[in-house]
Amino acid sequence: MNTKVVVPTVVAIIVIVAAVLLLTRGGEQAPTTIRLYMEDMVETAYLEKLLPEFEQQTGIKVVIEKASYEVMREKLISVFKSSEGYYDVIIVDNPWVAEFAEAGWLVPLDDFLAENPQLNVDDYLTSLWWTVGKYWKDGKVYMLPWYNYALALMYRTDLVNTPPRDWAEFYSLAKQLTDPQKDFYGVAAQARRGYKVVEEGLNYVYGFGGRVFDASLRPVINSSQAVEALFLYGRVVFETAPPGAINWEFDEAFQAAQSGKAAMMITYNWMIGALNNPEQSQTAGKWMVAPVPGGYAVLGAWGWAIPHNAPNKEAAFKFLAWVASPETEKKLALMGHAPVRKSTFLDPEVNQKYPYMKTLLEVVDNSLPIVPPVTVGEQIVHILGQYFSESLLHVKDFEEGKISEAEAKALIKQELDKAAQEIYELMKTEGYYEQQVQLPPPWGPG
Amino acid sequence: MASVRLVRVRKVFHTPRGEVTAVDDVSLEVRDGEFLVLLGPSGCGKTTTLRMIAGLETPTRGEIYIGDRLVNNLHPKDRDVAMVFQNYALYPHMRVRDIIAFPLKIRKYPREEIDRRVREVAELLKIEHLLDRRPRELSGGEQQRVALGRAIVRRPQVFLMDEPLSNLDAKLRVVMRAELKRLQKSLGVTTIYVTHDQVEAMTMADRIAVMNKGRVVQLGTPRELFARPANTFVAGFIGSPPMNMIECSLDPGRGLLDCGVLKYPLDPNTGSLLQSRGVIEVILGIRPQHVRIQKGEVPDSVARVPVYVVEPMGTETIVNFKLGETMLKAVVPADVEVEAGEVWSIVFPRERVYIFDKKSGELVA
Amino acid sequence: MFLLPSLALLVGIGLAPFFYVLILSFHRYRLTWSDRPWEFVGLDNYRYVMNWERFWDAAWNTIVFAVGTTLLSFAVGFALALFLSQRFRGRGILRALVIIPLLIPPVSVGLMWRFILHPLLGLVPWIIKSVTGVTVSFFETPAMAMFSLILIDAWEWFPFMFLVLLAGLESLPREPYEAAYVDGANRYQIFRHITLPLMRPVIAVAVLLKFLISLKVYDIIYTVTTGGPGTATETLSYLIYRQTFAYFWVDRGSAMALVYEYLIILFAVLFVKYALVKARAG
Repeated sequence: MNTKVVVPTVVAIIVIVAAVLLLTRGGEQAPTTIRLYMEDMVETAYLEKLLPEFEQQTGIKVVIEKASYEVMREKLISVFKSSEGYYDVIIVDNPWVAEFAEAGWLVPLDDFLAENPQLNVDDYLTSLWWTVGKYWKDGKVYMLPWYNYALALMYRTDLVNTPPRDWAEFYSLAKQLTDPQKDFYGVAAQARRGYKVVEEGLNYVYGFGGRVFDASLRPVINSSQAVEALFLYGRVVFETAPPGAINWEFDEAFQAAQSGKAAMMITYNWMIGALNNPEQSQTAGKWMVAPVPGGYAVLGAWGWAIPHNAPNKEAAFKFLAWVASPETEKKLALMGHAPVRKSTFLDPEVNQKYPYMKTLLEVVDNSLPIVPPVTVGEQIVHILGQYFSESLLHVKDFEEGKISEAEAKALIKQELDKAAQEIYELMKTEGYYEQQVQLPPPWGPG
Repeated sequence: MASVRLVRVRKVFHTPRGEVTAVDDVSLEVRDGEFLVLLGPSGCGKTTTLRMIAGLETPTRGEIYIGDRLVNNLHPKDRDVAMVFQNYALYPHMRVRDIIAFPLKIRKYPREEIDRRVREVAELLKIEHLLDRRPRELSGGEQQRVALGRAIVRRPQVFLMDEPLSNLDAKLRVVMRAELKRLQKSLGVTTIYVTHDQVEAMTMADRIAVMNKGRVVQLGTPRELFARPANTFVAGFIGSPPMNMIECSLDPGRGLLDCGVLKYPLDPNTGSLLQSRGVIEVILGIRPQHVRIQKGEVPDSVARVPVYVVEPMGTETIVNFKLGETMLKAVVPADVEVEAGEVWSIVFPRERVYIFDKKSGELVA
Repeated sequence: MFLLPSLALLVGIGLAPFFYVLILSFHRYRLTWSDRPWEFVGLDNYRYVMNWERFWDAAWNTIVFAVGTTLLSFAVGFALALFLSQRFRGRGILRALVIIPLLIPPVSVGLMWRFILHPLLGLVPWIIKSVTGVTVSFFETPAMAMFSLILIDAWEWFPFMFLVLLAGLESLPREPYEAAYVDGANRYQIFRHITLPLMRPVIAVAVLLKFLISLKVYDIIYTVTTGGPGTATETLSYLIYRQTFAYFWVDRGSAMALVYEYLIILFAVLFVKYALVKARAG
């Protein structure tokens, strides 16, 4: 084509389109728009279905920008650091809470809550409220809980009569069910280095009575309980889980479970929905949920927050008042949302649709966050992830007969000593040991 | 040593624009130890013929023999031929020493043998001082010698040379021409040499095969080709300046060839020969060297015309006459004084005149 | 000499961020410290990095990975380039097919291979099991995990090597081949004595490029192993990324990045000096 014709044509089109856009913008009152930054996952999809209700009530238009978990932290910090701001409402994962709050990046919500008593914060489960609600250090509220991802035990009702109560029982049951000849395994484990191995392994530690921190925030992950727990965890991974589970993420484990290759799985409590959904699972209808063996689960949770530089705070508050209300949560819960309010867990309608709601309440009530709200939460998770992963390699050597059980445990202890040491130094750098601190429940007494 | 025999060889290339017959039914026998030149204009099929003998192309039809062996399906390495390429095709990454040694090295000759032979060849070609250089550090003539060295070192049964002198400057070409011929005679290796330069062909060849449009149009010694060109193509291709070609028609009544301004009286035998074959339209050919000119009137002159252009060449002078549409050239000794515009008589010595059938181009008398 | 203008350009573009990182590396500063000033700590960050075993482990992992994937992708790419530089029917389609891995984003490549290598559901373990009866787990041990990562990365990059080497092969002069053919060389000898030496400069550049690219590997590590099991597949970029952008310790991250950068430059210089110069001369 002739450029002498094309260039002026293109220029003309651009000018006309620009003119039309400008004129129409000026012509009518532009509606208030708020931007949300959320993880691209099922909870966000539930919310999207309900959004028209809010938009009709308030006339505020909501735009959700969805991202994968991997990029969220980086993206959030670049927005916090910019002078203009971009998002009005964001969601924050529990290991990041203290970091963002202390950096002054989140707007305190105390005044807002005082003006909106209908939000009834006492309705939130205690474990969640102190994880993604009230910040223990300055007593201010920076977030409102959004959904929980406490871990629970999924098991096949056709293969398991009563769910195991403790980890030893879990291990022997898993071993019984494992038959590599038939490509069938007791547990679809997910032991990849990073978040996964911690989310799974820490349940064992909790079940054995171990903890990451004591009430004064000193690391105690190198306890003998933790050593025993990780040793057993390793045996589960190498003896009863499919080969390669040491590098598995959620996806691999879920595929193995839904395709009928495993009898049990430790995963987020609400995954029971997906496992029993015929569209996602070949073994739908055969799964049931129970608290993790040992009774004490790792808790994860997301909370709503407003960035310090949100362009439209007023509309953001309105959105928060709507999305955090008990009524909205109930509607979401009926779609499959993982609740954060006692009232929703106990709601008759919700219980009728999801008979296992009371079990889930028990799960979330008896759970402890993966890491308390401290400013180096993300890094602590990864320190644990690395040394948990190293510990598993020692169990592998034990399984292959290279070392004895005692040697393996001694080596695990060394790894956990290193983890405790690194965590201690990190916490010290961040000034946590300069004065006596007292953690709130569920970590401390109270 | 060996003879090379081509029997009804044909090569058709398949191109996007259809089939192209590059070599059409060529039969040829190159005698043992002979220096045969394939001569012809570009595109006449001479290089393709050579490449088929080398094994770089496969004939579409026909047979190629080296010695008594049918080599059609033989890998080049089993044919025992060596080739010198027009652009020398030296291995750019090797030193001269290794280039010459290459054919021996891949045949796993012992080291000492290789060294000895390379030295011999280098001495023969006077390139001992170049052995540690790389091709890009050599002049055209030096590269040419290295290419020759690589061909010679193996003592093959047949040398194939594809215009090996065409990239050299004129002066060097004359020198190399003589050297190449001497070398070939001293080695006694059967050689097939492709060129479009008739001077090269005439000076070097034992025999010349003139090719045109994929066919061999005449095969003979340089002397034969010069003396008895089989057709107008050969006649026009060989000799410098080229043979004068004048279109004439037979006038049986007067016993002469009517060539416009020029009238050539036939001897009665020739006249009746032409008549008996029914040839009316003919081409009269005479080499410029054989045209005689005289200032005064001469009884047996074929024409008297003014001189058009004079080209002094030093040792000789080329005199041009304009005969209607065609130009007639005559070569005279330099001491003959000729001026443009003067009227001269032209004489064609009867024994030097060739008469070709215009239709077929074949020599008639 | 020909490097000078491009070097000047590189320095120009890289200069500002470089100085920022350089200054940062002498201070104590975390990205979340909005109101705390930068505290000058001299060489503390460097001392920390130089004495940090994990940094050197990661450096070693990086080199193992880079050498492995470079060699493997080169071998496969070169073999295919040699094969597909010949004339035959269907060559065009094959060439197009070979390039496909290059068009898939690295993150998807990682995810895709995690499932292709899935011990129970993956294609590769299934094939191995049907042939040998052995269940292979590709990420079970540190060595296997590294090997699998190299395999995946080489799969992603062999088309790049293929393209560069194919372009090199196609631009080689024809004449030396014909000469060698008539001189009596067989296919292997032609490859050994003609193709290989003539391709040396192209091979050197392709290998250097791929090696430098491999030193910076991040996405594949992130999506496939996150550096595990243990720290078996933790590479320098991954370690630096985590320090800087996941933990926000930009001070140590800067020091590590600079040390890393010097190591890479050192490699590149050595490589250019020995391999490339030798290839040009040879």
